[in-house]
Amino acid sequence: MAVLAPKSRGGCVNGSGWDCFAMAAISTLGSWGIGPVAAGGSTRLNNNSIPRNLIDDVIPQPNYDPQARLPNMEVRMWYDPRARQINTMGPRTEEFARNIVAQRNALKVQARDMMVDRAAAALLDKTRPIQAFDYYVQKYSAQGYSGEDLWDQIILAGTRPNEDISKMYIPRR
Amino acid sequence: MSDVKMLFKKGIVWQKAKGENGKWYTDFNGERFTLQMNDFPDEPLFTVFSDSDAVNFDDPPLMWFIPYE
Repeated sequence: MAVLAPKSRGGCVNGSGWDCFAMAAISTLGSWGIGPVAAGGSTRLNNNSIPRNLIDDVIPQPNYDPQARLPNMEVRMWYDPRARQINTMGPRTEEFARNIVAQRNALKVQARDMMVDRAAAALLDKTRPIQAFDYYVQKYSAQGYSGEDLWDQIILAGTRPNEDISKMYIPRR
Repeated sequence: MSDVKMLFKKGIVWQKAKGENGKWYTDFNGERFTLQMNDFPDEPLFTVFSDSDAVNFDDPPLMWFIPYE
């Protein structure tokens, strides 16, 4: 049986793509009795519970990264839909705005930790640090927002990545 | 005037911009190009500018050298 390697290890998010194909293929192998126990134990790969040794043996993984870190483009593809899915339906209060900023910042921390280029990630944290709630209060207050309008701006900004991935330039490597 | 995307086909050694972390420059074909690190992942990681153009991207070409430190 010819099995192709998954292009990304970002997880089977939307029910399509190579990740899902690979997981389905491995599931089939499991039903044939080639399970994690037979293969010598189970290890996790990027939270999707695929036995790593099984993947290494059956599906070629020439660029396998034990930290499951990804190229920047794939990190943004992981981050973007999650940031947009933060639930902003709630009261326009400081408490709720703080909650939204905290959720977005948690995603940003996780995304930067996923970057395979650790030198770039380290510089990023120096030059463009992840901002706390007070930063956004100052930013939008300076633009003239106050009261519920201020919380509304902060809440909406929490799900608004600044550049659509589809507009990105992807240089040939 | 040069097309910024032309740079992506060349081996480029970027120089750190003095006094500005996260910014670099290079001179190519008599023109100065600037490379800037953005607020990733909300924004693309890099933007490269010429006098008349700008291009966003996430992963620099393997032929580029960007001194991060």
